[in-house]
Amino acid sequence: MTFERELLKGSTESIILSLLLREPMYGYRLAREIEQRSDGYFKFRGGTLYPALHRLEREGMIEGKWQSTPGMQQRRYYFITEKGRTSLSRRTAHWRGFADAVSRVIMPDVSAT
Amino acid sequence: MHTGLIPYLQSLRIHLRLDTRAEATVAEEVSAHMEDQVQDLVAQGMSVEEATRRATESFGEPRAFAARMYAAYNQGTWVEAGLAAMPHLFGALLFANHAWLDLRLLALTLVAAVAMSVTGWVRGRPVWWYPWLGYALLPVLATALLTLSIFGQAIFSFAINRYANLHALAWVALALYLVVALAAFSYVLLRISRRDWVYASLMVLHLPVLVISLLLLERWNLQRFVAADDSAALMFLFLALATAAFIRLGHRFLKIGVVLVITPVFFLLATQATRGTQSPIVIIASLTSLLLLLTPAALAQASGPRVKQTPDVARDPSGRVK
Repeated sequence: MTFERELLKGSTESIILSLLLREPMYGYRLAREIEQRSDGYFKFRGGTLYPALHRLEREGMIEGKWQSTPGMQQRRYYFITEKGRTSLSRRTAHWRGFADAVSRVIMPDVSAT
Repeated sequence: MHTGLIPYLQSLRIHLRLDTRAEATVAEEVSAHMEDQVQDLVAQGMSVEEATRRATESFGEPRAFAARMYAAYNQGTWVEAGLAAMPHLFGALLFANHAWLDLRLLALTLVAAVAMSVTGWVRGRPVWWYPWLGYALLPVLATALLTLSIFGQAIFSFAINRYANLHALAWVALALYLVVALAAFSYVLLRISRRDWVYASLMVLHLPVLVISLLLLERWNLQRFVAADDSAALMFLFLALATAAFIRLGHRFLKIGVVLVITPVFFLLATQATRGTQSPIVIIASLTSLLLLLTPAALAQASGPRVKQTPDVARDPSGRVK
């Protein structure tokens, strides 16, 4: 469990940025989308999600704006910025390299095929 | 809003220690998230009470969530750390070049401090604002101390010679100024202490240097005091580093650690500056330093729990925080 938590801690911001790259979302919808896309593997609690969102916003990776939902409710939508796109691109490249290297060591037979 | 969410949100507001605009945004966002979650869970067949419990559980204890939000907001960027350290760096430069004797440069520094304080206040009191405010308030405090000194001398003169070397109107004017100046300074310190005493300590971080300097100026002649300018520059440089570390650290207990480490370092630097010849002054100055830096904590404690009013922040036509 500790290993999984540490792995998630390092991936949280990448996960958030990658979803916001697809479309702007507000916090609750982002949490639902993460859960659905990961088939329930990731369950982002509000206590984890909002500190990460606000940290990313302070770093200039995303920008929050209050907007109306289709149901005419006011929610704070987050939009990825140019700085966020660049950061995501770099993180994705690192993740691919890391995942490939780990796979080659842990599962050499699978990686070879 | 579901009434079951109100106690959690009220508790969260008490524990949140962010600038006004950020607090309002976080509170409204959390409220909206919880409302959505309760709505979805109720639609799935859960009772309102159970759905409310699940929604509040997903954020964890209000104090713990507030601490995570604090770290997210209060770990300043390198730019913010640089901005916060800048007034101390100016002080170091002034002393290193013996330029503190130049009234024009002092006036320029003061104008910069006031301008940055106003800018920071307009921008919602960001983390770098507090050191600048401390320097902007320095003349108020310095003139109040000067007034107190004049008062003291006049009272001493009257007690010894039965002669007051001050006109009656001057007594009244000085007394009035002293009361207003100290009240203004105390009001600002109390307001900031109530929000977060750690930042109030950051605001007065430079005052112990002033105390040490004034005490030494009284004991030494000007020439000898100017000869110790390098030590004063070193103190300001240390203040700049401590301030930058304070801004960059996210966790509150680490920031408190930075504030607490100031006093023993000042003791060492002041001892080095005086070559160990002014031990009583150094001890008095170090104790004063500790008192100054912990006064905001005492003020915050004495003023009781933080009761949040609805913050006065800019809102768009729909009522949401801009």
